[in-house]
Amino acid sequence: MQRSSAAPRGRGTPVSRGLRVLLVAAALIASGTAIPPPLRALNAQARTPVREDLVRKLTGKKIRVDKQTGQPRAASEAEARATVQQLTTLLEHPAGPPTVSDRSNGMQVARVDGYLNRVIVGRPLPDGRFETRCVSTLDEAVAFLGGDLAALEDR
Amino acid sequence: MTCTQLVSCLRALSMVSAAAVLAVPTPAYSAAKITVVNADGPGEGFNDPTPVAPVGGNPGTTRGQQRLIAFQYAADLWGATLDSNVEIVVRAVFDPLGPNVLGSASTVSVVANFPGVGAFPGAAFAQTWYPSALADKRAGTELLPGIPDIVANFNSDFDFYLGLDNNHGARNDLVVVVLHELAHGLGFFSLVDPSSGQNLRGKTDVFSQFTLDTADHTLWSDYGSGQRKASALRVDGVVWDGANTFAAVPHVLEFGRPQLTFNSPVLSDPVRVGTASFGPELTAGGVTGDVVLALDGSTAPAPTGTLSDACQPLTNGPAMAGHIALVDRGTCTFVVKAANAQAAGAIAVLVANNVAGDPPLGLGGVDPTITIPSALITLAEGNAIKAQLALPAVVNVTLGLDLTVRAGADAAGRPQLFATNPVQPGSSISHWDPIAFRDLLMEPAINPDLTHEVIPPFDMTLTQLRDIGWFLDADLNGITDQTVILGTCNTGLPDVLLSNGAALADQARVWYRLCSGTKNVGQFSSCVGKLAADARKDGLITTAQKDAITACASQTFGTQ
Repeated sequence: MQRSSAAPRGRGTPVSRGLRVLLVAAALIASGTAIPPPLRALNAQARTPVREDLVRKLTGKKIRVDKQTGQPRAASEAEARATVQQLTTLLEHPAGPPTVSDRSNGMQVARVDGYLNRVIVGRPLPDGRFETRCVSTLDEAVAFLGGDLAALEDR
Repeated sequence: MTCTQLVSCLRALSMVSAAAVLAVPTPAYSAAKITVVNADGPGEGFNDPTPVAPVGGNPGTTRGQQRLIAFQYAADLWGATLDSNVEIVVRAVFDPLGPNVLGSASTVSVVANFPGVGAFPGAAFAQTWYPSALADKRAGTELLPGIPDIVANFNSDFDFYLGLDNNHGARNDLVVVVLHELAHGLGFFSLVDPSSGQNLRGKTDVFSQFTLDTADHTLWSDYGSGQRKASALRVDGVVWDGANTFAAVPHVLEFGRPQLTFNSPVLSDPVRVGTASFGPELTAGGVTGDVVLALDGSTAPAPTGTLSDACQPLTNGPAMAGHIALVDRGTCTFVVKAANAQAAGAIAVLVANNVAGDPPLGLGGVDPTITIPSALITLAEGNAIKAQLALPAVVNVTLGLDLTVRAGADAAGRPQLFATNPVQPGSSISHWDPIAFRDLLMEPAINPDLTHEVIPPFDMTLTQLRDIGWFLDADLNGITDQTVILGTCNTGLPDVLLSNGAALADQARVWYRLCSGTKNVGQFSSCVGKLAADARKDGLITTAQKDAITACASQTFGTQ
């Protein structure tokens, strides 16, 4: 197996780094403090820069529901940012295409989770329903939520 | 402990999940066992302890239980419809994903060049990617032990309807959404990147073996990437070329393609239009008239308003009366535009899109006072009409239905895949064209009128899965069934295509599933017998077929 060319250098040997990681992981598991999935997702979001052009596209669009009236209402910039951040987490593809592993019997296998993720996004309609769309890229999701992609209800 | 990707953890969770599922009613015997692995942590998602009242046949008493029951119900619907001797594992979680996401799913692995064990056939196409669940089925063995076939991540923030009876009202039915996502995982997807036309790692996929460009009658599997890229943009030009689904089309899709015909001048061949959810439906005769640009004398509100967006009362009422209004999309709702055009005497409304793109999709909104038909046309078509009006020239059109073509099929009766220009990576090709009517499970949108049935005359998802290789094999011996098998009983009936587009074997499996909630052999036999008798009465099956299926029902109760 090839090592990632992006591996950090000058911070100890690979063996000692690996040992440290294993020890930390073992300690976390033993103490029951391994990071639960939602927190992992939030941490991933915090590391992922948000595309400002997409935040602008969603700001002011009626993609939120007013709890008092049940009607769609305009998203604030912070809410638009949160939506773009969440979609980024779900739809950000790995940098390259999936690797293929060859088996001895001639069979080939490729892991495509992450690469092939499909997300159903929804935007609220005045009658209480959510209009939905199955998307696989961030731009497509924002185009739909922002009203560019499908013309079911302008606002 | 939080379970992530540890194989041992998955196995443990699988057992927990199976135990939980055993405690609740399932809709069917499972010819294919689909195990939902609850990968949520304690107190959240599928384990949310919030007390809830049972709803729509879902007996769960906590929110988490109801989610799991509804999820497994959808999985069992597929399990009862397909057959495989290899367990299909779906690793699923419910996490907070914000207010605009329902859920996501993906096949975990794809497999090529896999052999079959014993009589199992292996891959039907060489050098072709298959989703792992289908590859396992055709190989007759688990090819990737310890790795789930599908991962699914649903939104615990979203207010799904969790009943099992499809009585979801204005809410989104979780069962339908899961059926859709699982169908992608079972094989309703193309691995081609429609933006570039590139195959996955240079190898075609089983979906592309049936994706046909009608311009040169070439399958995507035989195209180069440049040709696939161009093909993906050909609106109305990409169809599914599978025999099972082709046979189902006449029984599922209705005649009547919504279109605009240019009578004079003939600017182009008739073009498809997006229909409206308000006002009267389009008719075969349609509405014919001259087009008049709607003028409202205002560009408010800035910066989006235009003089012809019909967001204010029209100022050219006398010129509009008795004619077809052309209005710009944007700034206000479609029903406001239609209402203003109607008040000015228009007999129909054409909304010209304000962004480039083809095909035009639907117009949403509700207003029972609208009595004239409306439709969306593309920006290019709107501009072409405006250019004629500016000459000035009279543009006469007919807005109506073409009853020679089924909505969602081409002139040859082949079901259309969703081709768009520009490409929409998640929606393009890997869904049916949303012009289809009736609405189909595998359109890009989850429509509110979908049922839980996946066979004709309700839907074409099962026939698509049959086309890609989910062959009938009720006895799980790897050999395609030549006769109809009900449970473990061989009826001796040859499997034939029924007049509703379903195979007799698939129809019999649906009856088996519908009756599987009965308590004893007498009730079960009576239930299957009644459904078969009704089908006989409707002319769907023959008396001999009804008798053979009814006879088998009494021998097969509780066998699966």
